[in-house]
Amino acid sequence: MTLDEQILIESMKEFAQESFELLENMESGLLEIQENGFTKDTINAIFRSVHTTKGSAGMFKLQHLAEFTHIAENLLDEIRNERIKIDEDILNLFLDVKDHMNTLVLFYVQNIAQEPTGNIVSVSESLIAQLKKYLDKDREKSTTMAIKEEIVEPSIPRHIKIIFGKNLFINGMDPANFIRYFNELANISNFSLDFHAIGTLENYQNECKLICSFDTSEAMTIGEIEEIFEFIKEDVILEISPIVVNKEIKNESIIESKQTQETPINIPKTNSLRVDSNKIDNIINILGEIVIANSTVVARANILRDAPLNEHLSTLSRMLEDIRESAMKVRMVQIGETFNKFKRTVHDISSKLNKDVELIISGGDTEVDKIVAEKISDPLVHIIRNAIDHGLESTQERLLKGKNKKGTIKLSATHEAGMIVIEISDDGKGLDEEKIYVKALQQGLISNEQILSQKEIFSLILEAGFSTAEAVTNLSGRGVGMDVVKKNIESLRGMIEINSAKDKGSTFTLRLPLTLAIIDGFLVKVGESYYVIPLEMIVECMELTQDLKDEMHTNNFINLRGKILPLLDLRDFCQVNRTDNKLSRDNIVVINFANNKFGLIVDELLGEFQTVIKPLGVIFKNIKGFSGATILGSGEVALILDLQVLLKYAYKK
Amino acid sequence: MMIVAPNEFLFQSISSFLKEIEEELHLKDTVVIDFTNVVEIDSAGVQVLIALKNETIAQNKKLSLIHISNATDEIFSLYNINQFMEISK
Repeated sequence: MTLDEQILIESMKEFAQESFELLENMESGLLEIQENGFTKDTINAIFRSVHTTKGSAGMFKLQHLAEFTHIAENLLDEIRNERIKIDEDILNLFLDVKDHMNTLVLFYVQNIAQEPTGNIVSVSESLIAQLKKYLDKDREKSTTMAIKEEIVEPSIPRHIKIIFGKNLFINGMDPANFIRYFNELANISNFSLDFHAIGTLENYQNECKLICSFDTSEAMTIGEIEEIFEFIKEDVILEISPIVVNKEIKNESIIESKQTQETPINIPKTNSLRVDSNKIDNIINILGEIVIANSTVVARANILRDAPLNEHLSTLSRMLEDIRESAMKVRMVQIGETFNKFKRTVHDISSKLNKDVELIISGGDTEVDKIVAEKISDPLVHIIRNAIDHGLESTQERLLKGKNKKGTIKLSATHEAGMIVIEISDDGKGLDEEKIYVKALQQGLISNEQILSQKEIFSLILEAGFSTAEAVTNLSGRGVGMDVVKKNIESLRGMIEINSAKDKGSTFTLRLPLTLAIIDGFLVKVGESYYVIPLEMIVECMELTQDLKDEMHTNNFINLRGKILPLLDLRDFCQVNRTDNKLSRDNIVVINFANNKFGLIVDELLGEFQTVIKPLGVIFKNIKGFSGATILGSGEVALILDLQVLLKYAYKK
Repeated sequence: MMIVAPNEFLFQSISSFLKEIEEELHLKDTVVIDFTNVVEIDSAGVQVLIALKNETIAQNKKLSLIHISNATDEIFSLYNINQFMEISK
């Protein structure tokens, strides 16, 4: 490969990455319009995405993409100039256009310096024909209408000051009628009347002296506002300004009678740097090694008992921790980016199933490791798909039940004790406990003797091969999917919980660690082996006194301040012998995992410990209870405990 | 004693009312206007009332409007003058 070819391939990769981001923005914009209606800002953002993609395509001489995008851009231009009204059909057409642009970009990356042929071209032609249909219609309209130069102006909520002319009353006009009409159109708020301008009764004349101001809740163009006062345009002065949110100063633009002024469109300036995520991963890996090396040095220095050395090392350790935290923050992304992709998923699935569904997203600004955000995407798609297909009833069924005909899917994210908690809930029919139980029996997933709690029954839907759907649709019902969800979540060291109520809906709660690379751990010793417990899960540590031992007797629980605390002896679990040191005491580490408390009995508590997680090799894949390993300063290996598994053991006992 | 506002509190009919009110204001420290008969009121009527209120403030006197009908209440709410004046239904 020549150097030129190499450069071209690299440039194409960058082009593709940028284009995919732009196309994602385009999709978000289209869905935003579908959800909240047309706004000038949104259509301009969509236009910019398409325009930039076209420009880049032209620069790389990607002829087919440039030509295709050009036609889409033409139609968008007509829409943003309000010559064509955007409707559901056009929105769906543009979603298809976006998908096809994605395909084209992918083609060019995989086939450097080639132009598409065959099926891709036929799809382009079909979409171009649809786009041209709208453009031609518009042209016909334009030729029959007088050509009118329009000033492009955004439709936004406005602050309006009205100075009514002095002759209004004499001319038989009542300003109250205009204000009432305005209120009907734009739902006004913050109304105020200038009382001082009216003056006193001294030299009172029957002239109109009313000056009022208010905000419109609805988005309006200057033209729309002026139209309201068309009838008294010679006798009124309007001062119109955009409502500035989160800014103390209102940028007033005074518009008198016919003077209009376009509000500039704000393009947020960001100061960011695009870096290959592999480079960051590499830095984090090296940092992990440094943390281990540092622990080794600290361990050696402790033996030497050299005070100045220890002091310097302590400073170094602190700085290392700062670097580690900063590096981890670089990897953190807002989960909202992942969530927003589901708007399209919901749109597509609900259209296919002919269901009216609203997706409500909250907590989009919750941050999580990039890898977690990426890997959580597939499981969420499965859950959302199932919620729409099986959870939400048909419109007719909902109306019969007295529910709102529009089904709701809520997607939320919050932080909880070092974990991100993602909830997906629907207001559908809920899970049928009995049906799941019977089906699981028939499919041999459970036996007759097993007594299961409601949550355990619900979690059966996560087992491989389980499906209660009577009809297998092309979306779901084949029993493939939910077990993949469980596997994916578990591979991320997370857990999934299902709650459901008949006719009220179901909630899937996913708990995932914020990061997969490094955790703050708590080091304990059992026998001669070391184990690490994720620090955020530890509530307290206490001595297992003789009294408590007597209380336990043969049971595996104690009474902790009036509540039963199930216990798991780590020595039994790990099959290690207890330390012979008679001076050592037994300890209980109280763990809170997903709102369930249990105690781990260990020999020694060694304190906080920064832990670089090393995945366990394939050879250990059948060993439950450990999520990874780490290397201690002394060079010894400590296993990281998988509390989800230990919790189950503690409760089973 | 109080002044009874005319049933049409409109631009065309407020001139005579204005004279009556000025005389009353000259004599008393508190002016009370009864709106029982008012069936129609326009912005010119509202403007006169605001001018009267400004006048009473300037003269350190009091103004109160009583027996406000629904028709009057609607326009008072529209102009948001309920907080500016002492009004009772």
